[in-house]
Amino acid sequence: MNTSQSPSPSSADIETQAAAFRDCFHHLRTEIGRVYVGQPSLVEHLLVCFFCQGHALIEGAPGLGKTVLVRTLGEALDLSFARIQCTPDLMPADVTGTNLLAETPDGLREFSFRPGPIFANVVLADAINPATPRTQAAFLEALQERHVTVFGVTHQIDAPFAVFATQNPIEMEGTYPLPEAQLDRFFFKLSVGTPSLADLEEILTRTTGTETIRIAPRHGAATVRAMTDIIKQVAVSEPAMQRVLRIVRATHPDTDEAPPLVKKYVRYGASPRAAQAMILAGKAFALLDGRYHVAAADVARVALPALNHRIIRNFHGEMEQISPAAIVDAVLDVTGGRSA
Amino acid sequence: MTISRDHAQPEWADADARQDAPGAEIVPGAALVLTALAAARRRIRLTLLARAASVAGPAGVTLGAAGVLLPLGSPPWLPVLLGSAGLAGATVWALLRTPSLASTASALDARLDLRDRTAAAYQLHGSSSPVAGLVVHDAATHLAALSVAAVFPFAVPRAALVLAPLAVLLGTAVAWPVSPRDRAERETAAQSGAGMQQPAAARSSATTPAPETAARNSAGPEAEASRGTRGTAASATPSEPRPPRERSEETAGRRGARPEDTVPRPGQSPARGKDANPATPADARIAEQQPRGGAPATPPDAAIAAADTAAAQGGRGLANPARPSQAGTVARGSGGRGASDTDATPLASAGRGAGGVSQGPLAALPRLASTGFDRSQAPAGLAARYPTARAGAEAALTRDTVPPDLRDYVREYFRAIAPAGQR
Repeated sequence: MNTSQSPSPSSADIETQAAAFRDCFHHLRTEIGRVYVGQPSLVEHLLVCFFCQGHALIEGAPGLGKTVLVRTLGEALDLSFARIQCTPDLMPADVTGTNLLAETPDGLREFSFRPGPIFANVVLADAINPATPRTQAAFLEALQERHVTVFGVTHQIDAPFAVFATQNPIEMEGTYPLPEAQLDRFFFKLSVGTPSLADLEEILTRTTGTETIRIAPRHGAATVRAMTDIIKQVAVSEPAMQRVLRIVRATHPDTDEAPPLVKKYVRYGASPRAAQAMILAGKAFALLDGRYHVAAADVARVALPALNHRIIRNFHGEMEQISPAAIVDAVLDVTGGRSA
Repeated sequence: MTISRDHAQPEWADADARQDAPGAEIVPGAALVLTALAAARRRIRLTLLARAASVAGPAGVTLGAAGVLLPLGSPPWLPVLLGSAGLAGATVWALLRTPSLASTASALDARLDLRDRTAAAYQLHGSSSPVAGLVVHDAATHLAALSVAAVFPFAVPRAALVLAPLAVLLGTAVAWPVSPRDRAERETAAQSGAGMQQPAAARSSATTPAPETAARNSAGPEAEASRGTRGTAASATPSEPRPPRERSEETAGRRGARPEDTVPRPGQSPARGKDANPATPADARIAEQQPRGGAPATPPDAAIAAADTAAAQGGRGLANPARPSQAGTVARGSGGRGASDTDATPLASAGRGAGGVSQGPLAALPRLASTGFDRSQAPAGLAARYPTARAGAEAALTRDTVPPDLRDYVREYFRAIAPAGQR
């Protein structure tokens, strides 16, 4: 098997790039914080997801600023940003693009590919649930393979590429819940909580005045790609690796490691993609913490956003409204605690 | 980047030795990490050993002391044996439970909240990847001021807080008995050890005993041991070690003095009941019916023991003229020490009944002794002790109320066993 590997940087290079990553991360967090009030954990996880080149599913009630958050991220980075408003009549070609018959300068007519919004660096799929399954499936290839195929021709999507889809958990009528196969392709599922009283007051102050906040884009595509590469350089300690393996195993109800809650209310456990997400996100958090190795605590920190959309509850779990977060907590408890 | 386990050094390799291995210093700071790990591992092992030993040692001593103090027939060295076994077991347990270097690294991380820094550094210390240097350097920075004693302090187990004082208490009770009777027995044993080595004249002049006590003292240490009595501490002299066989015989004699030992237990020498002094005639009959045997003794030893016993019984047994038959039975029992019926020589037979007052088989014993006693086989101690023993017997016969026929009996006995030149 032939494997290609980019030349590994020196220790000094890694240190320099790690410092740059921390600086970039803090800058983005600060810039987003100027527009988006509160939810520091949500912002942190969203940025980690982006730098790991993963896609996120953001779930929250209407009006909590999901779209603002993603749009601000796109603005803070000097990257292309596209927004897809998913409606029932949205067609796959509206997402991926299509071939159009166009006239060439010499008078000939030929088909040329017109890229869809999916070819942006940061894509916001707003309210993805109302889109038909056919349109949702159009995202599948782009999410996983990072290219789209139109009329038999494959078109690569430039890196960095991240899709942030939002969904409304309240309005279920006339919507099409994402199938499990598509859910699994999202790196994180992030929940937007209700803002606190102080945050709500700050939101009102900022949004009802005359002041308009301008975000200064600072980091381009090359910087983001370098950050992604430096994250992958981080080592994984044996305790962290074992923790990930135990967590994934414990989400499956037919294993001995599964806690009683999982055995009772879970139909299918997490996939290997969940383990990949935990490791990659753990690497990013390790770098942010000034370490060059993933610790077990990093894994526990990212377990909930990496697992909660990959654990499929059974009928009893849904009827008794056992939340995925409660199941993940039970899994973390049996695998070494939430902080260890 | 996931670090392969191949990078980890084998568990058996000591960290200090590994530093000298080629390539061990690929990553700067690896030596410091490995040294810290080795120190932490030694500390963990020491802590485990101390914790286990603080429980197992006292537990063994406690069990052994309980076995000695309870009437189980346990030897007095059992506490030492079990305590040593406990310490040895604790050592083995600590060695087996000593964690590997990888586990030690995890323990260090957990204690110091290092977020797996040490574990990752141990994984990567042999790697040549650029990030390995950063990981090891990071760990070395955090471990630079490591104090393993502070990280792994020794905590006394709760069980040890109970067991240690208990072991000291019971061990003290075994080593220095608090019971007056036990104390007297031990002092008697010490005197017996000294008496075998010291001249009789020195012993007889050591104190000025009461009449009855004087008779006992002059009768020799074997008589004291055979009687199982107390109160001769005044005549005690610095003891010297005696041959183990003689000591064990005396120990058996002391035990024989206990009423519960009148009936021999399985595996116990029945001849120990020589001076059981039964409280009832039935007990006396039991003592009389006991087979005389036990540890085989050489004829001279048996003769000496019989002589001393007889002298002693002459002093004590006659002190109770109201029960002559019982005294005679006791004397018969005491005379049988060290001689079995199967290997009974004329001398042994003589000694067996020499102290008695009965006119049955015992009456012929002095005659047998006088005819069958080969004085050339007598040990050197007999000549030295004979004058003292005989003087003591004479004193007792003079001062105590003794029936005349028994006085003659004792005198005849001493004449029979008198060494050459002292008759």
